[in-house]
Amino acid sequence: MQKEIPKNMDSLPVIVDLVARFFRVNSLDRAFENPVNLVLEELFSNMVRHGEPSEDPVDVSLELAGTKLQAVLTEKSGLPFDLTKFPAAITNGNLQKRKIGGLGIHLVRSFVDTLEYRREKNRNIIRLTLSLEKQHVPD
Amino acid sequence: MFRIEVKNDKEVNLAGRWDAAQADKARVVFDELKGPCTVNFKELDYISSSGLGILLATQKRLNDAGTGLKLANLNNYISDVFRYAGFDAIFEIE
Repeated sequence: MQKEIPKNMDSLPVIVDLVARFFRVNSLDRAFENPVNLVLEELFSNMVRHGEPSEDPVDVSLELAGTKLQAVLTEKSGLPFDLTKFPAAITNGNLQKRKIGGLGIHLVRSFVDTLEYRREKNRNIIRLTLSLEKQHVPD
Repeated sequence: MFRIEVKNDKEVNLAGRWDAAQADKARVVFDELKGPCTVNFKELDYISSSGLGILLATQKRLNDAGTGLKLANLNNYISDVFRYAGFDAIFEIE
């Protein structure tokens, strides 16, 4: 399932609808809908906030491979931004040491199984897999 | 849809989906909080990092003033998000 999504924050409901439709068509456990929405929102929001303003939409494709979701987000015109190289967020330590930003990428890394970035012909391409089986939350 | 309301300056009730597009609406409310407050997540289905950032900034500010937020009635998804973010160590969660 694939959709071109206008690159602005007003498009978040379009992503929610795409995910809902994907889950419905594939009869998937809706308990995983929010984690999928979170991952896509965080990656898409980064493209909107840190990329160049553009009329070019972001292409989002969702595919099922066994019990895993495979998603690809393609930003057709944007500054290079390899999020896999982004430093890890500090999520322990006392309140005053905690930084406000950086949680989005941390949450993406927490929920996905694999996350890859590729730069190709001026496009940022992010590919991820996410298990649609019960997830383990670390203690 | 996202709804946020304050009751008696001591309780904030959230409902719906708190995604990045709702940041300004939420920030206006949380920036006004001055004292101890319970944030009720009972009717909130979803949150993303934007919401976490606002909660964290509010907790830092209130903590400097000797008080803080209590978070209540989180669903399973939001509980998972908060554990991944390490929020269980810096917020009182019911």
